[in-house]
Amino acid sequence: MDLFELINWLWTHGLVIPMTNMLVLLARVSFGNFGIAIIIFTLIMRGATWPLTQQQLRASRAMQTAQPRIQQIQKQHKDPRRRSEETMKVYREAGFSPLGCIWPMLVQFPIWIALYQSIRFTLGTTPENLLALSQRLYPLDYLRTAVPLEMHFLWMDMAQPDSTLIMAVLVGGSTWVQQRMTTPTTASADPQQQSVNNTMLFMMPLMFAFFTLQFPSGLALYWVATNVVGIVMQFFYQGPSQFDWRRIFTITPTATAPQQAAQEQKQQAEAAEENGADEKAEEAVTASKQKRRRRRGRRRR
Amino acid sequence: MRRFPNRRLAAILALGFAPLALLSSACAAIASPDGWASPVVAGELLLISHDDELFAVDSSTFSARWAFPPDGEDIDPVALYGTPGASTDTVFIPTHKDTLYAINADDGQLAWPPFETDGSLIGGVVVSEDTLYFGSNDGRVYALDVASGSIRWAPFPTGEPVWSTPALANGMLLVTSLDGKLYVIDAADGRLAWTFDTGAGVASPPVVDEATGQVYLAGFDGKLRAVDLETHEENWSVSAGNWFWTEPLVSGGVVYAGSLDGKVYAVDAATGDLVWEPFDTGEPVRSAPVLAGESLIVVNRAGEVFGLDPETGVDAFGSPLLLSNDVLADPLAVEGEDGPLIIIVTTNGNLIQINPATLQLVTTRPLGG
Repeated sequence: MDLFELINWLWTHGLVIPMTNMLVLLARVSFGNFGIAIIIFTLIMRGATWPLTQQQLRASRAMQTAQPRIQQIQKQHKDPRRRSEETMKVYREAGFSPLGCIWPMLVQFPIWIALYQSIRFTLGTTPENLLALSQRLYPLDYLRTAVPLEMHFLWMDMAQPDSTLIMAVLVGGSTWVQQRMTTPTTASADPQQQSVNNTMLFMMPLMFAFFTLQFPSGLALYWVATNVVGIVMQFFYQGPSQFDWRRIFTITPTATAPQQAAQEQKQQAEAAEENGADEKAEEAVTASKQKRRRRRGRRRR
Repeated sequence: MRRFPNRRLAAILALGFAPLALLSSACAAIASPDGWASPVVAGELLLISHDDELFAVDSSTFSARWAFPPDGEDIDPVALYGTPGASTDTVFIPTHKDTLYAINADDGQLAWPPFETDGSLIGGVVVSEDTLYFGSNDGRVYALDVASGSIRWAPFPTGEPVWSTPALANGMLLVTSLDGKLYVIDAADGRLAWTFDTGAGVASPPVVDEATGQVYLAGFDGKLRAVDLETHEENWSVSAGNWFWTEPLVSGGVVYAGSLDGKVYAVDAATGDLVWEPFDTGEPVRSAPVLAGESLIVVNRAGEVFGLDPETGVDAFGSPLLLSNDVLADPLAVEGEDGPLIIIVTTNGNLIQINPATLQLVTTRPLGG
């Protein structure tokens, strides 16, 4: 067995097959309803990966807290090396590690993909899928006789794409809200990064909404369920009293980079004006003092 | 000055697209509908399917006659799973794209307008003198007039998709459904006569044995059952280690069936006792066994062809013939110029002829080539 085969074996037998069996089991205990099984399964999986999610949320919050100082550094230091050093220093002080934000996501990717594969296998949309499923079920009559599963849930056939567009809207909307919740509250001073942030904010939800139109609605249900759970987790982690829903639904971030630049220019201009007026007043005071001194001198003479 | 932001941009984009890349790789790992329609003889034609195409060849010379979809017609069958049926001059082709096509056996042109259902057609078509019957993924059983394609009686609803080919016996239509039931319907008017519930999905066609007055059902509960046609009660059942998804073969008072546990079962039709210990092929058996000459030919998914002694279950040739690719379609036994032949279509589209007497390859030719 070479390395590739070993990874493939571990992937199949360590993740996909146990998840598939669990899905079938949940469908069986939820009266054969695959829609309910997907929702319960999503809750269990999000619960199991909670430590990773928590780490990610913690990192995200630390990053948001440090954001004003980062912006200040970006304004103050023009030298990239110096700026980078100062930024890292702020991150360290805030207890935030960029890697700490990324690796929980990286660990969760394989779980999501395995879950995705399991759902597709369990859906049995084609005879080949169902044939493959027969080889992945554990040799228990309770599981084997559960297949094929009841595919109707609410208005959907779990094995077919949702033709009503409702799921596409729900997937796109929930993806957007979840992304928006983790976006920094203040805009980046770097216009390039701000542009990337804005693009990602709309591109990902649109792409997932588009996928929903192509894929079985069972997968769309999973996406919606996992997004909703993510939103709820974020809401409670951040603290309901700290949460401002208006910020989420404000499409334009608090201040975009060009707006900020314009504001700064205005402030500078105002300061300059004030300075100019002060100088003039000072000059006038000095001139009047000099005149008074000259007058006193003439009288003494 | 610009290096750092560009790197950051690349990292952000990479992070954003990583799940999409993984998602697409996951999609690739899932099977798409490829079809596994079995070859069948229809008059002078041999109908062979692969993927989304059907080839009609001369059954004796193997020379090409026509192909489906016909040239010039905008038809996308997606995949072909169900065994085509045939009347004297028309071939009926069920497709994964919800539609049944009636094709002139002479020239391969459409005989009447395509008949659409609300679900994929996975099972095959059975034809009586003037009516053709088939089930759909929409859960209904349809009866159409052979000459015109008009509906004979209101589609009969089952509880779940119908993935098997119906069977006709004594004026009754027997249909198995993924809801686990056998429906026995009056073929003339579509009225339900009686049902039998197995408790698990059934995708194998029911097989009527008039000699014993039983119908055999092979299901997803891993059981091969005999149900009495008079009493509608189960006479016996045999359990396998996985699902049955093959049409059982009845011959000489013995029922043969392959299972997805990789074994072939031989059961006494009268008593339900195993005639011999199940023969283990080592890979799932999706294709129905066939008798040819003195051998029971069994093909497993991996494309290994076994020639068993039907009376003892012993591998008559000591080792299997290994084909170039997987096999999911049923093999077909035909009478060739020099004796019996086995025709097998592999999943990569090779038409293979085997001499069952020697278990040697006679010819291999790519379909459409």
